[in-house]
Order: sequence, then C-alpha cells, then structure tokens
Amino acid sequence: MKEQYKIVGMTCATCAISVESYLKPQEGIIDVTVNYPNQTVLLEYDHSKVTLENIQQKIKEIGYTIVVGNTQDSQKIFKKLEENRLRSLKFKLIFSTLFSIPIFIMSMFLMGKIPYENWIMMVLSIPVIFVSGAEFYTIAWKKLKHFSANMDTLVALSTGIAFLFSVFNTVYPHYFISKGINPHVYFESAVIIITLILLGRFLEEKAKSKTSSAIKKLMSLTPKKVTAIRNGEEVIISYDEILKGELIILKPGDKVPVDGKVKKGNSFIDESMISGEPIPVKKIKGSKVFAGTINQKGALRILADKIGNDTLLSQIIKLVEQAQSSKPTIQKMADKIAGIFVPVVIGLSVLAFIIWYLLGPEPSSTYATLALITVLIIACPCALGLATPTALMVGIGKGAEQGILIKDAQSLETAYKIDTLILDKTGTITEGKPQVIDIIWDKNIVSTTLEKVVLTIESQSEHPIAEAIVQHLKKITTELIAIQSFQSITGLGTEATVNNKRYRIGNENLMLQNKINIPNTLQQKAKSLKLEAKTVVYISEQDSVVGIIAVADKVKETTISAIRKLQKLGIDIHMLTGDNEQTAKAIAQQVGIKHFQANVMPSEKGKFVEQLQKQGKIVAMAGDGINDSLALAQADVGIAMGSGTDIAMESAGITLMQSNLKLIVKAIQLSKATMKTIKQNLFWAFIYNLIAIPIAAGMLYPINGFLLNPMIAGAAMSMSSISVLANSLRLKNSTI
Amino acid sequence: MRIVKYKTNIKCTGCIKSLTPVLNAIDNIDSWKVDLNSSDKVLEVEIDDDNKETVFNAVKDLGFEIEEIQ
Repeated sequence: MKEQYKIVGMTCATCAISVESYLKPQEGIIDVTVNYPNQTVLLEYDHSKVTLENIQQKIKEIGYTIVVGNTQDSQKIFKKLEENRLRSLKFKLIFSTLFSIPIFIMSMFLMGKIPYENWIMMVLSIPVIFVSGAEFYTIAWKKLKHFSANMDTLVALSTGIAFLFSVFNTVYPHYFISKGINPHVYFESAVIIITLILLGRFLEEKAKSKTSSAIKKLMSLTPKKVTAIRNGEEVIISYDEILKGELIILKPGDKVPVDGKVKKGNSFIDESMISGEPIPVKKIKGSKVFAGTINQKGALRILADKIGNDTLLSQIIKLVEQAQSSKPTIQKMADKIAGIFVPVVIGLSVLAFIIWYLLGPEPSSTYATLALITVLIIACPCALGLATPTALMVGIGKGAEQGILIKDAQSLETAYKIDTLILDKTGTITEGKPQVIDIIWDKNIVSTTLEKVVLTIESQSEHPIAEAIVQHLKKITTELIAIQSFQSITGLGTEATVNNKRYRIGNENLMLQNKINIPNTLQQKAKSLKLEAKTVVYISEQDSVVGIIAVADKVKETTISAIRKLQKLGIDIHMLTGDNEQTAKAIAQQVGIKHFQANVMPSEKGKFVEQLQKQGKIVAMAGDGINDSLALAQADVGIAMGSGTDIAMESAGITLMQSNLKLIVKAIQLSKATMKTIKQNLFWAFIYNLIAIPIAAGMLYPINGFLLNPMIAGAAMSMSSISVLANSLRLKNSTI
Repeated sequence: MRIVKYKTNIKCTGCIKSLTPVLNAIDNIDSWKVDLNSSDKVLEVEIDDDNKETVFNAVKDLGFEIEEIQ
C-alpha cells in the first residue's frame, strides 16, 4: 500500500529527516519518503498491522500533521495551511517591525535623552522576542537536541543572549557599575536581527514554488460536461457522473473524457499532448482513444474503458507527483555556513572567556563573562536572512524580463551545476507541427494553375497533412477553382476532377495503385527526401505525376546554434523522442546531437533521467508534452516550453516563454550569476561581524582599553544589510 | 441494420445501469433502449448483422428474462 499525503509543520530539511527516522522503525511501516519542498510524505505500510489513524497519531507526537483525505481535498487544505503560514509570517513581520522601529530610533539617536529608556526598550522588545521570534527558539531547541545547528540556532543564540544580557543590565545596572564597567544594552540588535531575518523568510516564502497543482491542470484537460447515451437517449452529464462501460458521443473539437475505444465513426484525434507527436492520429472502429486528447473534425462514439483516476493521463500525473516527492532538497547555503559557524563562535567565546579569566585584569571573572556574552551577541549577522532571498528575487525577476519564468527557486540554485541535458524532439527541438518544406514541380510544368488546383482539392480534405499544405499555399494564392468531383480515399489520399482533368494527391501507394507514371527526376528527389525523414506527397494530373510536396516538422531556427553553445559549456546532450528511428536519426544529425533514442514511452523518459542521475549526473530536461512531464519532474532541473501543455509547465521548475533553446543557455548563466551573488552576499553579511568578533572578545583592550559597545554592533548591522542589498541590486544591472 | 424487440423483466433504472456496460460493449449492437413504461418492458435493439444471439445471451447472463417479440 503506497500512499502520498501532505504534511504540515515542517520548516526545514531536518524536519523531513526526523519524520522519516521517527516513522521508519514503527511497526507495520515499510517505507517512508518525505519530500520537504513539496511538504508531502510517501508512505508504504501494511494495512493489517497499522492504520492510517495510528500513523497520524505518531506523527502528531512529534509535532507534525498529516493531511488525510482525497488528493483534491488535501491539496485544498494544504493550500489553506500554506496561506495561513504566509499570513502568520506577514503578521509576525509587521508586528516586529512596529516594535523594532522605536527601539532602533531610541538607541541610535535618542540615547540618554529619555528617562527610563532601558526599561522602555525592554518592554518594547518583549513582544518581538516572544511572539515574532518564538519560532527561532523552538527550532533551535529542536536542533540542539540533535546536536545540530542551522541559521535558526545562530539567530536564537545571538538574540537570546543579547536580550537576556540587556534585561540583566536594565534590572541590575549596579552590578556592572560597581565593578567599574558600563552596562550596555543590546535590545536593538536583538530585535532588528529578528525583524530582518523574518523579512528574508517572508520574501523567500513568496518566491518559493507555488504548490504544484498538476491535478488541477488535469481537470482542465477533461471536459466538464459530456454527452452520453443512456437507455437509447442522448443525455448531457457531468464528468464525475461518467460510468465505466458508458457510450460517449464526441463531437468535433470535443476533449476525450476517458480512455476507451471507438465504437462508431471516423475521425482524427490530436494526441500530441500524450505522445508528443504533432500529426493527429486516424481513429476508426476499435481504435483506442485516451483521455485529454482532442477530437478533430469527425464525430465518434466511444466506449469508456477506464475513467477518472485509472486513465493513462491520471497515471502519468500520479507518477509526476511521486517523482516530485522523491526529489532531494539541496541544503541552503546559509544553513550550511551557520552549521559550521555556530560551533566555531561558541568555541571562540569560550576561548575568550578562558583567556580573560586567566590573563585579564580584576575582576577577571566579570570581564571573562562579558567577553563570552559579547562574542555571542555580535556573531549573528543581521543581513544573514537577506543574503539568499534578495539574490533569488532579483535573479527570478531578471529571468522573467528575458522570458525565463522560474517557478521553483531551487531550479535556479541548481541550474548552474547541470552537466547533462535531455531534449525532447517534437516541439522542443522542432516547431512541433508539420509544415511544407518544399514543393518540387516536374520540369516544363507551369505551376500557377496547379497551385490553385492543389489548394482547392486540399481545402476539401480533412487530413492533417492537407492542412499544412493549405496553410503553405495560401501564402502564394487564395484563388479557388470550381471542383467537379471529390473523393477521399482513406490511407491513400484524394482524387478529384477539376477542369475535366483527373487529379490525385496522396502518397506513393495511391500513385502505384492507379498505375500513374512517376518521372525519374521526381522519383529520385522523393527518395532522398524520404531518407531525410520527410513525408512526401505526390500530385498527379491525368496519368503522370507533376510535382511532389515535402512535409516535415521543421527544426526551430535557433536550435542548432543553441545546442552548439550548450555543448561548448561542456554539457552532454541527449535527445529522446516517441517518434520513429529514421526521423529521430535525421533530426539528431541535423542539429548535431550524438546520443538519441527513438520510440521512447513517457515512463521510459523518466527512467532514463533516473539512470543518468544514478550515474551521478546533474540532469536537466527540456520538453513540452504530457509525455515529458514525468522526466521534467524527475530531472534536477525541468525546463518546459511555454508553447507546451500546462502539465509540462506544472512539472517543470522553469518555463521558457519563447520556446527558444537559447534561453536554456541564458538560464544557466542566470543561475551562475545568482549563485555568485548569494555567495558574495553571505560574505558581505558575515564580514563586518567577523571583524567585530575580535573586538567583542577584547583584542583591542590591551591596546586602548576598548570593548564592544552597541555602536559597533549597530554599525556592523547596518553595514552588512546595506552591502547585501547593494550587491543583490548589482545582479539586476549585470548583463546576462 | 435491423431492429429486434424483446419482452423482458427489466423493471427499473438500476437494471438498466447494470445492463449498460454489457450491451454497449457488444460489437454488433448499434443502439438499444428499454421502454420501462410498457407492460412488457420492451428492449429494442438495433443490430448491424443478423446475429441476435449476442443480445439474447448477454441479457440472459445478467439474470434477466428475455423473449423475442416476433
């Protein structure tokens, strides 16, 4: 029994590990995989040994909540909880800002001018510390129990000590005064750190990926109302009421609501969203049809075999969500640094204590304690929380300007590392729809009349290739000629009489069956076109072929140069397609891709990505169809084409508005630039505080009797914030 | 294309529901309906060929009584 649930209350990647390790040893649990960015848990458990309620209870014990219910409901509940979280974060931020501003003004500009100023500042900072800042202390406490540290630990440690020390100095100022030391308070430093870190969290939460709603997109692919035949009568029912075994009528343009087979009628169905192939597929009695595809011009009656969650489309979406849920999170760089920084700072403060205690002037124990406390107070940079989100926001904004929509900040943080790129063929490398490449007339043929004839005949046809020919010819002429007779021959082409002459337009078999002579030159041309995987349409007048038309899905103009650029960046490129071997080979050669695979099923695309990942590659996948969505979700960086299906865009972290592969190069450059900015930001955030640590430890004391005071803490605070903001804005003006 | 009529004991919409997937899936049935208002509960079937067996057997297998009306 494998089921996926939303889980609420996880605030860091470690929470995910704790849920996993807590549940795994429980009786009846076979496997647990928690996906932190998606906030979901994939549970595999034995029904006979443990119930879902029990598991829920267990998770509650460690402070998390599993949302049970069907997928749509839980999506809704989860969205609401997510909104609540953002709202509470916003409230905390506003709350702490309101109280921090007066404290800041008092300590920076009005020092010594207001009676009882320390008491006022203390009262004002209590709500900031205990309401807005509460989560830092709880998380830090949980971390401490595991002997690990992250950003929250650093914030909690620094602000907590600053607050307690200041409270002590406010209530018992005489203690330090009696020992000849000026009792400083650091309320402003504590509250401003909390406010700024909350601001960073808020910005980041807003930039974080919107909860993926592939299921919702699935709903948009299925019709709301369906015409079914019940007891001999046509009735309109809603999608949810469809029963298995039901006969459903598909009118031209209707979306197919179920997986099933054709009982009656002929039509072409556009299956590009599932197969990725642009040419609609002919459907006759007995042909299989799939939910989410679109009926073209004919009417069909179909028998519903699989409905609702059993359709191929639903299966793909389920796999997509599972792939998303098994994706590992990358640890935030700020957390990584904090994890190392915290023990180092604690070590330094203890060292300062020992040195002061042993070598310091009397009262040495007081000086030693003071040094320990001030080192801890100065350790947390104010701008720490701003370093990552400001850079990501500028990076995401810069991407949007260029038509690169970044839905998931994690893709931006990963894209610069990719070493393998997988491209879908149809719609990604190519335009995605058949187009006339060339029309070749036999020598001595005057083409002007013939063009009109072909346009007239092909306008009558419903075949998708005929449509491409009409589109092309309309650019040359729009004049139609009167037709005397018209007949379409399934699987071969059309026959028509115009101006008392018999014309045939269709494939080679149509010509051979009617014993029509094909001139040698045209035969040669056709042969070489077919080798390039192009579809050749023959045109005959009376009993000989007068011209041929080559139709193919054209490679986008920008593709070849983009691929060359990506290869220059050292990225290995693979092409996967559901199309046949010959076409795949021709296209791969044309665009310069060495590795390609043809006849690939949607699930195989996902597997292929997984295999490469197992070899240690960082894989990006670019595609546009539902058939690509599993691979898009599985890849480290999924890149969807803006012209593609919604589900592909939901599965991918990045969407390219112009479906131009050159934008992939830009996305990689943008990722590089953003990561560089994040690193620089962290440097600027820490550097002032790092410089201040020796002062706090009392290094300058032997030279000029200088100890840390709030002015230095304040200067480090403002300098680090200004430097970080300025550096992030620099990214905005960089050329990418 | 020919129309065949049967006298049955298909009494309610529930019976029709169970009948629907079975009759829909039979290849030579083009359309069918049951007249619940008639006293004989007439099942009218339009079939593509002359094979009336398929209809008869399918309805019988579902446990209903069925008898062709000549």
